[in-house]
Amino acid sequence: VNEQDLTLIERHYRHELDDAERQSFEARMADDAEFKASVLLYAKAALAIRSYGHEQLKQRLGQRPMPEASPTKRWYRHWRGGSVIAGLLLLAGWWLHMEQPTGDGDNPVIIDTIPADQEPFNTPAAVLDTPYKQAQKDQTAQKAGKPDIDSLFAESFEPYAYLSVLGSGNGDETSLDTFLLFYRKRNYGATIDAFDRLPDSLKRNDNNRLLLANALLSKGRTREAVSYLQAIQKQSDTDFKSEAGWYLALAQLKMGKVPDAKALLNQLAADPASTEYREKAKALLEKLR
Amino acid sequence: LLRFLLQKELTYISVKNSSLSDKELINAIQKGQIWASEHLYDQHRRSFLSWGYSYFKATPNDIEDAWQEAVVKFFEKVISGEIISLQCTIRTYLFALGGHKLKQYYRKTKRITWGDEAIKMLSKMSEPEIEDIWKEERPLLRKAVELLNPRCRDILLLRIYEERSIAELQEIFKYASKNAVSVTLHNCIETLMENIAKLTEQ
Repeated sequence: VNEQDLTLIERHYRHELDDAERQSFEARMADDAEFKASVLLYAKAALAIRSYGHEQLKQRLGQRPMPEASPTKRWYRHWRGGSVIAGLLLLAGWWLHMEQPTGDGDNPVIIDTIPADQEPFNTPAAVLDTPYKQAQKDQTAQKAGKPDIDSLFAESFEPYAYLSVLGSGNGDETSLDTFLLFYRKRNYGATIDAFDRLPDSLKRNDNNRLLLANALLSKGRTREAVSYLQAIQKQSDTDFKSEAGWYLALAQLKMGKVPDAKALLNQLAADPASTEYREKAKALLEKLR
Repeated sequence: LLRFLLQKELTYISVKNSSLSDKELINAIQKGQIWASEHLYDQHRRSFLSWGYSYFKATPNDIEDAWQEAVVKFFEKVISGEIISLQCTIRTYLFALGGHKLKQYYRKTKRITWGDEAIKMLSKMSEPEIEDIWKEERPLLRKAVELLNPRCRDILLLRIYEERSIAELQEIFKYASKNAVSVTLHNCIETLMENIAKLTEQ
């Protein structure tokens, strides 16, 4: 296919031909068998790419982990389950009460529907176990006058979202692709190993260091993560100052260095350029007070 | 391409911001930002699974597959300009698309609740069932794409699947001129056409 025809065919499929061009295109399709074959071949090629893109996107979505139910929904489900059980217990109690002789007016028979070895209302407490324990934990922490650092870290730490059309896992990856692919698949142990195999120039890249630091934080290797995050922060021309600041604050928090974490969070909260992390920093500071 | 993806907002975007409006999500998809579809996929996945299970006699795998199809199809409709805005929420539209897929699998629903917006839309949805005339050739077409070098595959995917402009491709792949992009595109599509022709002859 010559270049001119290819351009024409491409424009036809992109609906860019004007009326006159379209008529001429259709006339040529009717008369010129070779041109028609090229048009058909182009259509197949475009379909091949679209199908491939469709499959790739579908596959990528299919690899995403199931998101957790929101805490409100979990609470609602537990509450709903608890109320059903409580309702059934009440109904059973009422039924038993109605079935038993009531005695005479002066000495009514009192029926105890709860077995002696069972704590009253044991079931709802068990059903609401997690929120109940969490509430107890929060209360204890509040009483002690300091926030629960581990819980705050767990609530606030979400590994940095890395999204890319690359790293499709088709076997043609470079060492960087492999590193990114493992990170995207949340295989943080393999991400850390893959970082070691990167050439030195890529190891010095702030983007890659940020991902590595997140992988290290996810694996509980906080001290190592801190050194990478501090290195990013020291760069004057980095695009990842806010990100590094946020994760460094979380790392300091995890290590119990609350004043250091607060200082970093205060910087983020006051930084107008840090759109994404400003609110998060404010919220975390509030919890730390 | 790597440098572009690593440095631009496409590469690193937090999708945790659940306060994005439908309009913002459509705008993001129009710009080819795949994270927006992932955001939609995650945001309504659980609800769709229970919704699909309530209305259709379908296996969990089929419901998952229908949800993936719905989100991918929505992405493609937005990127191709078929959808610019919606009169209902994206959620309702996605549920109707996914429901349409499940209906193709199972033909009948368990029960119809007319109060459900997505079911209402599904009953009105007149998406024609396009006969896949090249169904037999799909594996061959896939192989032809896989035979391309990764750069050609990427540039064709961005141009044909994601409908990116020549100017965008120039920026992404750091070409010196738009003409250089066009030449590469032509070479790549020609190679793909040759691959298909060769594989068909075999």
